[in-house]
Amino acid sequence: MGSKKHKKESKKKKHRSRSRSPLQNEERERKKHRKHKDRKRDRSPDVEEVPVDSHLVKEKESTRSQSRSSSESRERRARDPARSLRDDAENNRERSSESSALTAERSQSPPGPGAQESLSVDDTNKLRAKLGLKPLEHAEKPAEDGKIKDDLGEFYHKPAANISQQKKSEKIREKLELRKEKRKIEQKLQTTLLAEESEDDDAAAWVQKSRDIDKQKREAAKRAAMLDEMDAVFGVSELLAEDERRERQRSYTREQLRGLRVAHDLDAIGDEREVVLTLADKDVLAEDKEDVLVNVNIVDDERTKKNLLEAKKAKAGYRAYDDEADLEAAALGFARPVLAKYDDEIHKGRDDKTRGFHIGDEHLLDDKHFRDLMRQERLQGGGEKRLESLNLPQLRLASDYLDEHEIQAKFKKSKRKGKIRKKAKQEPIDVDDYDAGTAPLETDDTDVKPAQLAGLAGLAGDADDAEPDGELQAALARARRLRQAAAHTHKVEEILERVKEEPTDTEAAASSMVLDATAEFCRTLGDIPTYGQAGNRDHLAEIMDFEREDMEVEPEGDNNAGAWSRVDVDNEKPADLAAGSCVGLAAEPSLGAGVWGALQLALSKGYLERAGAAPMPHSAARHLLTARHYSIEDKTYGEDDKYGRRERGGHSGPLQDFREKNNFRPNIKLEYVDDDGRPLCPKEAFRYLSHKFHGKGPGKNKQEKRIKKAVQEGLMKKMSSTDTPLGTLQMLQDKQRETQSPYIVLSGVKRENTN
Amino acid sequence: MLEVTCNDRLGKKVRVKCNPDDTVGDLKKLIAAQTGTRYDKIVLKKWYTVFKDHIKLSDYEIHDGMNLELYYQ
Repeated sequence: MGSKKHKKESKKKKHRSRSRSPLQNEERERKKHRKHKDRKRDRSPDVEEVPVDSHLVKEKESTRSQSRSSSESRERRARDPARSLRDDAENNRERSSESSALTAERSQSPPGPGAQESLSVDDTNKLRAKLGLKPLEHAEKPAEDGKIKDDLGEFYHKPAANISQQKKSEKIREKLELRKEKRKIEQKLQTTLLAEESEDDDAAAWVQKSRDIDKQKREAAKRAAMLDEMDAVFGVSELLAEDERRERQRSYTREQLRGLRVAHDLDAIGDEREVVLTLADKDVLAEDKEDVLVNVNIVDDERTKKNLLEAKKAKAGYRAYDDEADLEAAALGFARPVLAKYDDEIHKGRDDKTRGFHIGDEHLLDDKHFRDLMRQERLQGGGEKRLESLNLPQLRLASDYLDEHEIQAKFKKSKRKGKIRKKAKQEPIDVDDYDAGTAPLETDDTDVKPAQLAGLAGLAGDADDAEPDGELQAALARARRLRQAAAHTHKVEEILERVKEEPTDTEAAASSMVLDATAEFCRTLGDIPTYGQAGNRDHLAEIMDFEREDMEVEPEGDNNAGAWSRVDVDNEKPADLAAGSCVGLAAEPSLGAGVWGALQLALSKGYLERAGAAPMPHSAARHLLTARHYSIEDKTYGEDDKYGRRERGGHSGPLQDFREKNNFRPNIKLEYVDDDGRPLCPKEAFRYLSHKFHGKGPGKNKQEKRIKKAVQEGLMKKMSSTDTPLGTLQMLQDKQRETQSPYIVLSGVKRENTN
Repeated sequence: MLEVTCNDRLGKKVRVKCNPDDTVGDLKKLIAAQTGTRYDKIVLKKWYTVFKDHIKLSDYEIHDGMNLELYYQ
């Protein structure tokens, strides 16, 4: 076709360029690019079918013979109007005058560029034959085994499995199998189906049949009834029934049941209750053939009981080692038993065999009876066990007053106690009294002798009545101690005599301390601070009996609050004396002299506070020293700080006045001087400090300038206000004084010249 | 059978049917028959590979629809 086109175009151009010109080629190329699709479409039918030469020849023939049908041309026109036009033009032109030889020759010439020509298979074969080549191999048919040769014909490829075909075939196969099954079933059911069909075909036949059956049944029943009647008449049925009963009785009596074991306790089965027992299940292969009777309900009960027990056990929590005994056994080398909780599993039916009772076991029943009796007896309080009743004594109303019984139950007062008390009151017991080391510390020996009292009279007056004045007491105690130290020796003798007179149990008590609950209680109570201060108490009058006893045993212990330890009097003495002789310190009040002494001690030590306490010796000086309204403000807390921190912008100062420094007028003068000692104005000072702070001074120029300025300033200050800087006035005055004239003559060269 | 396209890019472009076991020389003869050029003046190339006359198309792995460059000497 390409050649044709070329020819046509060339003709159109009126044979302007028969031979190929580059220009034409270009144009054609462009066209080709533009109408690529078109050309392809047009070309394909022609190219394939028509070999170049033959096509040309054919065309020539067709043009000559006008064989091209009008319909064909119309069709072509429809496809490509431009081309059809061209064709028409060509036809006309060719028809008009065209030497066939020329065209033929031209057709021989190589086809135009871009044209693509291909011989048909036949033509190619012909050509090949001419060239001496074997004919073309036609497109390979698939091999017989369904394999396809590849392009080179060397390898056979197995065609890919067609999935859709497979599916289809599978479907068909399934259908076929289904049908087969159906056929089979049908064959099976064929006979019955046939039978059914034969009988159930019509309803009438079916009704008839059912009626027949009914009738037969009724007849049979009637016959049976008749026979029964006959039996009754002859008494046969009664005989039979009796026979049966007898037979049963014979076969199964109490004797038969004897020895059969019931797997429950006798208690579980109630006394006079009917219990249905059944044979328990057992393994078919069980070795023992014994039958066991059980009741399902009781079995259930037992199981429940057991489960409850288990639950209770489980509640105890995990215990790795149940028994210490187990551990010990393991330690000794015995095989350690499995945990107790597995006992049931291991010995499953062991106790089942022993449990329960045998029917007909008479003495077991007796046993039970006996046990019941025993239990009842126990309940009634038999035996040596005492039953506790839970009945409490009757409740009574509490009363504030003692009744008669309680009064009678009170302790009796011993005679001696009163005496002791009286004596103790008279004179406080001094520790020093006992320093002789005599074991029995009798309170009797503290009796105040009239002579002693007279000796003390100047100082002490009566100690008991005196107001509890600390200084006075201290002085008294000191004097007493001195005196007693002097009268030591004969006092010891006295004590010894007393001891002989009164043989008491205190000797025994001295070696051992007596501790009882009451004493302990009183000790822990300690002293009552306000006790006796009001003066309305007779000091020891109300101390209870036991305390008095205690006092009798160790008189100092009772006052020595909170301590049971006995004072070693021997060791104590010299220290005490030294303390007494010491000038600066007041002597310690004696502890041994009863409550009064203890109170004194407490006061002097500061354990107690006195209501109208006398000033301490140093208190006056201290009073002067201490500030009267001194308080320390806690700066870490308080509102000042808080608010100050919160609103710093506003008034951040303390809310209270700074009252202490009310009239504080500080005289502050801030002066700054530079390195040379010159005073600086604030501005300069700032600059100076700033330079120092930043470590960076001013530049050289600035420094020079400033120095110059300073120098000038200095000069200014030196300058006299009456004279010029060169001292002209001074010179004038000197000159006048010299010449003694009120004027001076100004003379100069120029002047002279001009004059 | 396979069909190769030979183009000299000067205006000649032919499609030739041939067998895979044809030699390059046979192909040249066929081309010559179609184009009218003498077969010994034809050079067939693919890129820089000049196909030699005595070698089969299959050995050059020339398949159906391939384009060969057509040159003249």
